[in-house]
Amino acid sequence: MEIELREIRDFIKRYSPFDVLDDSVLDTLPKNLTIRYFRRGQAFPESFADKKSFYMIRSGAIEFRDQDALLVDKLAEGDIYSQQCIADMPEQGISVEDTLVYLLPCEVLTQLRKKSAIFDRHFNRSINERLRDAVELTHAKGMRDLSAMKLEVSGLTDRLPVVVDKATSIQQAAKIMTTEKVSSILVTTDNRLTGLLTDRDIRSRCVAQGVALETPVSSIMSTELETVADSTLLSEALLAMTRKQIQHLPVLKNNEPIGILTTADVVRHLSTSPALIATDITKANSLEALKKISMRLPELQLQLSLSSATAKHIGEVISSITDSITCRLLELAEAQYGAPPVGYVWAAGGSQARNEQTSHSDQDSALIISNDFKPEHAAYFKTLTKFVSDGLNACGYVYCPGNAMATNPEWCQSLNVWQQTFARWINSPEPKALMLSSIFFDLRPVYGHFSLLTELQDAVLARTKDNQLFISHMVANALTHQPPLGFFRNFVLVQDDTHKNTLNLKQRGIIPIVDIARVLALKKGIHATNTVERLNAAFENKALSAEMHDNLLDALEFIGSLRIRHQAEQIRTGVSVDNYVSPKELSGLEKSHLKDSFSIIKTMQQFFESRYPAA
Amino acid sequence: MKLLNRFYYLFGKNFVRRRLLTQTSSSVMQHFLNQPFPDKKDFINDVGIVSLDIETTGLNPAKDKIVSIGLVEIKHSGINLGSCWHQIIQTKKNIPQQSVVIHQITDDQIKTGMSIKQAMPLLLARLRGNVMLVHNAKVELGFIRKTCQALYASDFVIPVIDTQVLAKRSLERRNAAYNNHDLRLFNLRRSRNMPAYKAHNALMDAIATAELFLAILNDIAPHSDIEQNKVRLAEFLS
Amino acid sequence: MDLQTITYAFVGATFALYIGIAFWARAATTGDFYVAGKGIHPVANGMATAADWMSAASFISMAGLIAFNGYGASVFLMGWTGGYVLLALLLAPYLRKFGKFTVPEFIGERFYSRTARVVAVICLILASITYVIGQMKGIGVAFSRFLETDYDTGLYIGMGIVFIYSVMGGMKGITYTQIAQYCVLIFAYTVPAIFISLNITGNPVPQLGILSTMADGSTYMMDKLNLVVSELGFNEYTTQVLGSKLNMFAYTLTLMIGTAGLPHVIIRFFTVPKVRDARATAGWALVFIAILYTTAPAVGSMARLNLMNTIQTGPVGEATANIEYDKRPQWFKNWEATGLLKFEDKNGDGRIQYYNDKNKDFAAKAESYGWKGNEMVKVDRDIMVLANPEIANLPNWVIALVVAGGLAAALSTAAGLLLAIASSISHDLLKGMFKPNISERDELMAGRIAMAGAIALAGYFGLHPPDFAAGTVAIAFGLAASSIFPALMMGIFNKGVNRTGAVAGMVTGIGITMLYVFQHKGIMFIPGTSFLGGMSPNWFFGISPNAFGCIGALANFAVAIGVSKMTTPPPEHIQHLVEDIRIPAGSKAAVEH
Repeated sequence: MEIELREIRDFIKRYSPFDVLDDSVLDTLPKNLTIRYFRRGQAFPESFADKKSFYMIRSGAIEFRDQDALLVDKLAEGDIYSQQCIADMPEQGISVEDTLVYLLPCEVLTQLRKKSAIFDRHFNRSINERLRDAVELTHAKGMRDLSAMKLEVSGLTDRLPVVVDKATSIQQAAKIMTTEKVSSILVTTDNRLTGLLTDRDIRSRCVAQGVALETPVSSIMSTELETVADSTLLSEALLAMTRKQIQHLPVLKNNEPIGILTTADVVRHLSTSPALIATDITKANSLEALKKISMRLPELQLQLSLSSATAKHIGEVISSITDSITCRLLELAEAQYGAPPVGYVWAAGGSQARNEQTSHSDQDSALIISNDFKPEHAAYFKTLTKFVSDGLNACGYVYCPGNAMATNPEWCQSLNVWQQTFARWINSPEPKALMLSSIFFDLRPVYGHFSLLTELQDAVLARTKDNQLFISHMVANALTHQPPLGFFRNFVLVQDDTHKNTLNLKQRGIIPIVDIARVLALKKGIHATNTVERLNAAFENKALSAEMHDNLLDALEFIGSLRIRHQAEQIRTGVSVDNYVSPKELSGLEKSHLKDSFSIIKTMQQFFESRYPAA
Repeated sequence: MKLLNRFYYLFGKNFVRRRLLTQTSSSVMQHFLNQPFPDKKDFINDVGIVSLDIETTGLNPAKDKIVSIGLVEIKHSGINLGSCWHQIIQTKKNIPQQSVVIHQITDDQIKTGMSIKQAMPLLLARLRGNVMLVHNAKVELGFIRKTCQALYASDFVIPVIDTQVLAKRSLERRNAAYNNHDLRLFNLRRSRNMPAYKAHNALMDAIATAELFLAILNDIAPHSDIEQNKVRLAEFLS
Repeated sequence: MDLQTITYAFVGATFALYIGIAFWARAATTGDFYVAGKGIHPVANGMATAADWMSAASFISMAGLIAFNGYGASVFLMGWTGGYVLLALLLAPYLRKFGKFTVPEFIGERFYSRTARVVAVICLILASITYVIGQMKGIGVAFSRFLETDYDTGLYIGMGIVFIYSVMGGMKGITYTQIAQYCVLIFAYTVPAIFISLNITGNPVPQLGILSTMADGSTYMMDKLNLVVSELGFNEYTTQVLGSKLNMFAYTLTLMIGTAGLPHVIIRFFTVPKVRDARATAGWALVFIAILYTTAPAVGSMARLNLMNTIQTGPVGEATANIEYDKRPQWFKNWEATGLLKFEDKNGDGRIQYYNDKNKDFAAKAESYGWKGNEMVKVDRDIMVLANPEIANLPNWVIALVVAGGLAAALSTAAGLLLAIASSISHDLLKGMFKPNISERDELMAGRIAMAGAIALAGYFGLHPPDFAAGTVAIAFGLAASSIFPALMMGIFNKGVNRTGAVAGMVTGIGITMLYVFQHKGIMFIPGTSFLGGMSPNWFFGISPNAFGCIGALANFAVAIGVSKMTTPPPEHIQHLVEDIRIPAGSKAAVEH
């Protein structure tokens, strides 16, 4: 091996299964590698590939989805793909980022497996493991980090289990089950739990086999009992159930059965889980169906906030569901009106783009169309965007009052026109441009050719980066919303009649931080749209001190959590949600924290005011 | 004569190659020149591309020396690491301190290398009949040309793809503001989220350039077009 | 209502107006999100720019200097107007194209050097503090008159108010406040001028009045003034110059090019989002500035005529033709209280004799009248504009208006400059050089401390100003002219100048200028430390310290270009950058289409 290729060898060595190989073997590998590049959105692996190869991801990411578009697997840096050599994985994926891969011919892999037994074992084991992973992923991935994780199974079983002695006849047991309306009962021997009898057992082991009804239940019950403790998390229980293919799981507390967890219980609970909602959305075949699903969103937000998820997390979940609805609407539209004449990308704007949405805010969007766009295509896109926008409106995302939507011909343009529009805004930051900026400088691709938006954003950021003139106008704009804190650290309350004596947490607390984060992102050429990510990147770019960075994140999360709690209460009591919180809703400590948060924002604004005197 | 050679460029690199072939008496040069270069109209996917990086003691071909050469071949949109070649060049001139830091090569290492006289035929053999891919080709071309003149009294010619030029074109097409700093290999790769290589040697740079080229290739034309031979070499030549 | 009450009422009312507008503007922007502001019309913006432009030096001091220096003081008019045009046409468009609008940022980027940036920052801080000293003088004069205290007390109070005003943000950035300020200012300046012009010449337009005959039709007003002043041994009004012709030229040039380097003026051009509007704004601002600048000669000359006529009531030489000290008017007493006007009865006749005792010919004649020297031992030039309406016996509300205008002019400029200084010190120097990881809160605090420090320093010098307000400001312009202007010009128009050259040039330019100023005006302006004496015989080619900035600038150019030739040229991308900014924006796009 050329000594200069050591870096490539070292990379391979870092990841399983290559980590078990000797250096002498590893040294032979780089020479056998081919490097390939997959652009975002490209099929993986290449269909024409003449030589069967083993793949290792050097950078980027590949996703695999099943026919229902559910995510089955995802490969990232260091992950391997051996389908072409041992057929253990889905066949066709798609690169979701620009991706570099190392290819190793299958023959070389075979030789390696022959050479090293430990290395070989990895591949034997991984077939089963990967299959199981795939199942797990489909069922649990969507909610892996959600409330369900934190929920204990004891909270799900709503009744004490029905218990019979092992000597009870099958018929007797069946009678009890019918009167108690349960699908399973526990069987004890001397008050010790020894088995479980389900409807299915009676059907398959008794009736089908012709066993006499007087036979004791012990003869047909399942004795290899799988149980969980009451403190087990729902996700673990769910995993156990999927793995063992069982529908009933006794729950024990101090070794005493306190209930039986059934798949029905789980499904009932998870019907508001994001994963389920997302699945339902991809299966919805009409606007009516989507509308119904979207009605579950406030409930989801409520559940999430009760499960003590962070405000950031809730924003991400809600936004991702809005993404799904948007995608589905676009798919339905394309099905109805035919494939688009030229490529385009549907981009979300505003809070959805920042992944900071709460349920059912208004819709902001833009359509960026490939430069092949011809005037005669306009009609198609007009119909398309109208369908989607109307659909979103029907699903509770009301029309944007400022008409910042893709239905507005101004915001449904070819890439070139968008480039010019942004250039104009940046060169002449007039008030109107600045107002639009808070929507259109936060754009995130949702559906279509993502690269169109990436190209646009690259160009925009190149223009804004270190552009003092533009940035100072943005700063001035960002300072228009000031925290409601008076001279004596008192709250300045809203005075209009509808929201008398309240605080507008969004406009005066969250928006100022969002605005400043945007300014920092534009100034430093940061691609992120999420406020927390922008602040992190700004800190890494030294545009923000460690102290201010930490303080702003704390303030954002604290104000965000108060807002979520306020809205949860409104959803619970059936009032329409808003951002107006009365100080009376807050404890003394919370008021004091809120004042601290506001004064952090104030300090930050004063700082920017002094740094940009022209603002 | 020299002036006339410049004029021949109007008729394409292969024309120049044939002219030079008639003029040179060096067997090394003859071997290099007697294989036709790929034609402009050839499909990019079929063309042999050699990604090259040369580390030098400075930027001036007249004064500075070649320290090391690294190259790797690209064929069918894949970088074949089996084809890579790295050679350290022995030189009498000591490397300035600053260069040591950049290239991580010290005098001791250089003594293990071969002389430029030995290395040059090997390099030319690898470039023979191929397209040369370089990031900022001016430097590499300058040094190779200078060396060819010194060793073989012949001018040097080859079709060139310059990733820096391609990146610049793409930025200009998008009307994006950029400065020279943005056009450096490291920064271009970073802007595309390509991994940063720690080592800075001629071979890793050649590989890095090749990877960047694959990325740019996919910018310029959809992957399927390249596969279906709809994209020609001409679009990429400097 | 007595004058004092009316003055309080006017000052209070105008400031209440500014604050009210600030609140209104803020409340308006936080309204409905989707009702975008319509942007500010260039005419309005022009007024705001004019308000920024007119400092205490323009408002309070310039006319005073014209009153006593006659034609010679026109260097201020020409220099500052020329400077404004130079800035608006020659520099602002390029800086805008570059995307940078603070001078240090431009210099740091263009000369690819942190050192160059820091040197530029230090030069700017020096120039700005000197500028603030000039404003402090004006503030001291206005407050001492307004509160009827002596000048020192007025200055101390003024310092406190400036600090509070600056920490509050100086009401900056709110264009409507600036517009209100301009209106108050121009009203306060022109109304008395109109009254006085009517009184003296019968022509209500001061700009025309100055060229008209006296109200009784006897003679041209200028001839009359020439006669009055030369009868008392002063230089003939319309022909007197500041030193030599060369000095006049240098003085004008210094003020012109110095304008280009002072940051608070440039920034205004960039707050307008559209290039076309920015141009219109610059044009309108020039119109609004011209209103004040063309009035200034009338105000100055008529004030002088009134002053002379008040003291010398009859033919020179007649014993009863000089006013009795006991019968001196109220304004005389008011200004005596500030210490800015002093009378000393040298010959003990109880009457005031005001004449030029430095003029040997006339001094001999004065001896024969029994005069023992000029008895007006102190007439501070900076009181003229404020005292003018009183001297002319105008109604009390006019006098109050002028005080309010003067305060507004001095406070807004001082606050704007102090904010810039504070930001430079805390961000460019402290964060940039010593504490890169300083938190935003500490940086703000450091800025405030720096601001307090700058005010204290400027206030200290304000107690013993090196010159009248406009003169001190001229020194500030000299410092900017010698350091910043050449760096900007070479930055834009000479791609060969490298960082070493730029730094050497700036250091040389400001060094030479400061040395020259100090050697004539005292080290750090401390009286008595001037090592060559302040007198004109020691001046280099007869150029006064106030006018020396352009010589410093010449040295700067020479050194920068010389050093650049000897050292490595700027990197290629910088050279391209320089070429690029000179191509008009949009020309490239035009070619492409």
